[in-house]
Amino acid sequence: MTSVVAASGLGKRYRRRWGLRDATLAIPEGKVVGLVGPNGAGKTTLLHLATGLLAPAAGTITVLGERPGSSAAQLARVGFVAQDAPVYARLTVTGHLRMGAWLNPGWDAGLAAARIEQAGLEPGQRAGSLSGGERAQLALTLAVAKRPELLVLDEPIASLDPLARREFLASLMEFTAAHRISVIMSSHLVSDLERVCDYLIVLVASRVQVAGDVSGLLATHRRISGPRRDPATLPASQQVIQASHTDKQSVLLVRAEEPVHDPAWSVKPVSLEDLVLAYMSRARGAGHTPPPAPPGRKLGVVR
Amino acid sequence: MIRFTLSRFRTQAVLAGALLVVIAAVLGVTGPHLARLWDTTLGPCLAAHPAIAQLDPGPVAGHPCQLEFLMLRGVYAPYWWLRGAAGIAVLVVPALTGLFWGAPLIAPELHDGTWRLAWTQSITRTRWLAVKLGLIGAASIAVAGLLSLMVTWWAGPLDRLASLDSVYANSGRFNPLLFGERGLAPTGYAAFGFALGVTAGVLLRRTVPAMAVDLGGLAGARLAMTYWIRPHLQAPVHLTLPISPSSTPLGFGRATAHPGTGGFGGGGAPGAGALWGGPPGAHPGLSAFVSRVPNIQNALVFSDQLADKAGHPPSTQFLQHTACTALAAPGATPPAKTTNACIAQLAAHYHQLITLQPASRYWPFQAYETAIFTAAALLLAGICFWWIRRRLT
Repeated sequence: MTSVVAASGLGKRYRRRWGLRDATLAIPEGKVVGLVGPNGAGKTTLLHLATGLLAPAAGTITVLGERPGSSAAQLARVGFVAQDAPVYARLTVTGHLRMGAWLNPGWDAGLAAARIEQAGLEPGQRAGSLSGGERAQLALTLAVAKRPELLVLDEPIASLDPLARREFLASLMEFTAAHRISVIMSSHLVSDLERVCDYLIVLVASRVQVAGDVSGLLATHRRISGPRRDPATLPASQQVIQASHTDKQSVLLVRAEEPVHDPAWSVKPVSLEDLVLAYMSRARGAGHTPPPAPPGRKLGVVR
Repeated sequence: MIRFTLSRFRTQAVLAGALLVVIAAVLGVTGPHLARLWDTTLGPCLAAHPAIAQLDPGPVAGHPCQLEFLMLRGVYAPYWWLRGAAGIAVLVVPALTGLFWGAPLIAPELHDGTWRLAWTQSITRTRWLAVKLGLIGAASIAVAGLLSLMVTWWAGPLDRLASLDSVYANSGRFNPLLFGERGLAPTGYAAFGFALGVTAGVLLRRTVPAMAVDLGGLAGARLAMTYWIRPHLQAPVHLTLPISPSSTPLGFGRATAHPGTGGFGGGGAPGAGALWGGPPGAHPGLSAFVSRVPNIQNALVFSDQLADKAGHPPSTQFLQHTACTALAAPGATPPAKTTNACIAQLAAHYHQLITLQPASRYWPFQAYETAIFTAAALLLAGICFWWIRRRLT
C-alpha cells in the first residue's frame, strides 16, 4: 500500500526551539487521520510541512509521492483548511468560489455551489461578516471543490459551537465517503475526532508519540490492574505507557501486541481518550524528551 | 491568478483610470492652446534667430524676440499655478501607488493569515508573487508614465518659457526639482516606490509600518539621487569665458551673497552666484566680485567662479592692491568707470569658470536615473521572491 504521507526523521526548527522533531510516519491511503496533541505540540507545524507551507529543517517528507508544494500539480492534489479557516474578509462568498475556479484547474463548480447552498451561505455576503461556522464551511468548500486526493484540516472545528461542529463533521464525512479521499485533521481534543477518525497520530512536545490505525491501537493497548508491582518486572513484550500505584494496587496502561495472560492482572480495554491522555501525560512527565522507542521494555511514569 | 489579481484590483484600477482621465481632460483642453501660442509666436522667432553662443541669454533687452516673449509671458501667466499643480501630481503619484498598491500587496496576507489560503491553491507561491508584482507593478509604472507623459507634453511650452525667463541658473528642465516631474524618471520612481512598499510589507507583515518605510525610503532615495548622485552621473563640463565689462555682467560686492533679483532683460542687477575673490569678510572694503550667472538654458549649473589659468581664484591681496586699489576704501559704491577699469585688469589674468552638466545630457540623465531606480526595484523584487520562498518557510 502506498503512503499518503511518508515522513522520515522530519524536523522543523524555529528560531530557538524545535517545532517538530524526528517525525517518522507512513500514513496509508484512504484514511481519516486524527492528529491529536495539546496546544503547541507541533500539529500545525506538521500540517504546514505536509502542505508545503513550511520546508523541513531536517529529514524528508513526501505527500502523495511528491515533495509538498513542489509544483502547481502537487498543490492541486492537496486541499488545505488552515487553522481559523482564513478567508479574504472583503471578498464575497461568490468571489471566493470564483477565486477557487481560477486558481484550481480541477475545480468542481457544481460541488462548490451545492455545498454553499447546503451550508446556507448567502453568495453575495462578504466573508468578513460570516460566522465562525459559516467561514469554516466556506473554507472547507474551497478545499474540497479543488477535488484533492488528500484533505488537510488544521483544527477545523476548534472555534465552532457544538451544533456547527456536528454539521461540519457530518458534511466532511459525507464528502469523504462519497469521494474516497484521505483526510488528515488535527485537534487538541480527542473527543472531536473519535467518531470520525480511523487512524490516529498523537503528537506531544514536538514528537510523535504514537501513530496507527485506531482499531489496532485499541487492540494493542490495555489497562491492567492488580497487586502492586514494579512495572520494570513486566515481560518485555508489554510496554508501559502509564502507571499509577496505590499502596496495594498498580494500574498500568500497557501496549502489547499479544494478549496479557498473567492471571494476577485484571485486563480491561481502553478508550481512545484514555489512550491519548496516557501518551500525553507520559510525554509531559518525561520532560519533553520522551524515550526513543526501541522494541521491548519501557519505563512508565510512577504517579 | 491573473484574472483573480485583476478582479481584486478593479476598484483601484478604475479609480486611477478616472483620475488620469480627469487630468487628461484638464490638460487636453488647455494644452493645444498653449502649444499653438508657442508655435505661432516665440517658437518661430527663436528658430529664426538661433542662439549666438552657448551662453546666449535668450530674448533679453534688445533681443529680436523680446516682444513675442513678453506677450507669451502675459498669456501664460494664468497657467502657472496649473503647471505647479501638475508637477506636484507627477511628484506625488509614484509615492501614492507605492503606498496604496505596493505596501498592501502582501502584508495583509501575512498579517491576516490568508497566505495559508493563497499558497495552498493550485499555484506555486513564486507564480503567485510574480503575477501580483508584475501586474500591479506594471499598473503603477503605467500610471506614473502616462501622467508624466501628459504633463511633459502639456507643460512643454511653459517649461521652455521658464527656461528663458530668468536670470537664475537652473531654471530649465535640468532644475533639480523639475527633473523628477517630467520625462521618463517618474516611471523609475513608481517602480522603486512600489517594490519598496511590497518589500517592506513582506518583511514587516503590516501595511501601515510598510507604508511609512516606503514613504521615507522613496523620499530619501529621491533626495539622495537629486543632490548626491545625479550631479555625478557623468563628469561635469567646465566652460571658460573671458571677462569683459560688456559681455560679462560683473560687478563688485561686499562679502555677502546677493540673492538673484534681476528679472528678465534686467542687464546689470547682481544675480545668483557670488564670485568671491577672497575669503568672505576678510576686509572691511570691497573684497568680492558678484556676477550674474548667465542663464545657460536647461543646463545644470554647479558653480561659477573667477579663476586663473591654473584654476586658482584671485586673492584679496590681488583684488585690493593690484587690480582695484581705488576700491579698497570701505563703504562707497564705486562708479562704473572705475569698475570697468578693474575688470579690464582682472581680465588680463582671470577668466570665468563655469561647471555644469550641459542641456544635451538631459535625456541620457533621465535614462540613467530611470535605470537606477528600476534596477533597485528589481533588486527589491528579488528580495521578495527570496524571502517568500526561503524565509517564510
